[in-house]
Amino acid sequence: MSWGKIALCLIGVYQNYVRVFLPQACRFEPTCSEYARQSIQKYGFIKGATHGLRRILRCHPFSGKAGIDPV
Amino acid sequence: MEKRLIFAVVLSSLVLMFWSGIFSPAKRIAVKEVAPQNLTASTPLPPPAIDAPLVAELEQASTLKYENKNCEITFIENYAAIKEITFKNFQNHKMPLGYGFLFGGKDLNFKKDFINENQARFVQSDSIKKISKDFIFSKTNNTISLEINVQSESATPLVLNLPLVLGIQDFTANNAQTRYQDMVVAVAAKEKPLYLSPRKNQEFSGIRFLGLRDRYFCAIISPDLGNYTAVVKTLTPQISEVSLLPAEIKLLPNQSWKGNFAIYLGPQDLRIINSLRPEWSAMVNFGFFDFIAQLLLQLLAFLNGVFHNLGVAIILLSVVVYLVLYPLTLKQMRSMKEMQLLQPKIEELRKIYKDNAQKLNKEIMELYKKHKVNPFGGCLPLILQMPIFFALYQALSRSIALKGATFLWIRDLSEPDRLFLLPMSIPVLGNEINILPIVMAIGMFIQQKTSMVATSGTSAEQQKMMLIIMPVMFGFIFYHMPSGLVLYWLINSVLTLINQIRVSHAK
Repeated sequence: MSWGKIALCLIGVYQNYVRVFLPQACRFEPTCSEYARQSIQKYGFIKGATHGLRRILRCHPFSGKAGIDPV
Repeated sequence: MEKRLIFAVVLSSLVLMFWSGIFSPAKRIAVKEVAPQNLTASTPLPPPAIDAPLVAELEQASTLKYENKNCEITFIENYAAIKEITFKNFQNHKMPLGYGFLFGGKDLNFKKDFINENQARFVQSDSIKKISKDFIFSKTNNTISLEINVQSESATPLVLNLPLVLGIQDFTANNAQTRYQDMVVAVAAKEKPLYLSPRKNQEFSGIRFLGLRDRYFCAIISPDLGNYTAVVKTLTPQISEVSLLPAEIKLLPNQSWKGNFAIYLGPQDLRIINSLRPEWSAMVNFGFFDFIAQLLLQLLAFLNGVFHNLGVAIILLSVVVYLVLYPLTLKQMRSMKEMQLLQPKIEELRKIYKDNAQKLNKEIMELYKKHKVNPFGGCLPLILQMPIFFALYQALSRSIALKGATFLWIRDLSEPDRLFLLPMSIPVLGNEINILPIVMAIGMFIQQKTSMVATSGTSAEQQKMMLIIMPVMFGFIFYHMPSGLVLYWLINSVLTLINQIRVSHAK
């Protein structure tokens, strides 16, 4: 199994089982986890995960961005 | 939507069953210890149960006691080994080693030569060799130096393989220590030691030091000279024996072999261990977030030193963390107020797209993008809290420094608060009533209710659901957690709540 598949699998577990118990927090559409999932699918593990991480780093009240922010 | 609700309920009950399955048995044993007539500041942990045949073997063995002002050591005479150590300075907690420092296997029959306050000497002799073992105790600290001498009595050259056991670890389910036990292996080739669970057979060569630990105590051994291999052997699937194996001992007639070892048997207290031998300090490890946990412990120790109460220190820690993240919180609350200005526009959109929830959501998001606001703060603030939280959990559940600290009605901040015990046992919750988690759940509910932002369609439904499920879930999850941790989280929720009320009133 490649790193990408493992990451996608973990994101899947998070989206289906963990997120249900957390308060809604993300200020973007799609959410950070969905964004990471899509970008790993599109760009592969290293580039995709980097994009995902940078998205999480943008996702705070000072970012000056909100709403729709597709991959 | 409905499917998701049902799913959430089913899943939460599964999580609960799983949770109670893991944590209840150990806790129930601990509860028994709190006999109502004997409410001491802290509950001593129950002595770990060891597998039946081994229990019988260890019980039948004839034992000898050594005692000094810090501890009491029980030796098994014919093994010349340490069965367990009782720490007098720590509410008589015991650390069992099974047959720690057994040398050359169980077939050798040792005899006590003498035991006095400085030293215990055991000797063994048979037709081909003579072995002496000297345990030399330190008067000031928890170290022992072990000297082993093997003298050949044979007329022909001897080749001997004599392992030195460090101890055994018992992972049976009813042992309260099971989830805290692990071992540390430091080898010459690597700077960083390895942390692992001795649940399978394995070997490591070139040992610098080897350690075993349970929740609060540890046993460390460093050979002075020579190349040693650490051997982990599973005696049963639940019981593992960890030993040091010297290179093959080859003795000509009349030759002898000497092995010297430095041993530490005591609490996992960083200050003590570091002062004895800095490389041993790796033994005090709090897992993945070790670095943060060590920082938190130092901060807690400082606050505790100032206020002389650990509960107050934890409350202040929570305040400090809150203040560090405060700019983020404040900004988010401000943007929530800006949101209210957008409300008329959202209502307008709602009318236009009342039959198309998906399109509506998209339009609202488009609006957020244009005005750069969102009712939600973002993922980052949430993620930043996590490591602190996990590190505090680790520190509270392992640190000997935090053991037995009292606060208000809480007898031990490293255990649930147990305001009173019920005569019967409720499923999942057990027979103890813990007030703090309940207060925390209520606090979370109020805090969420005040912060709720009116949103549209499905997400409004979802929010209502979360409003109930979240606090209930957290209440259950936190129910059996250390009360210090619950206190930390409660203060965090209360501060968020106060701030919210303040911001929403300052119009």
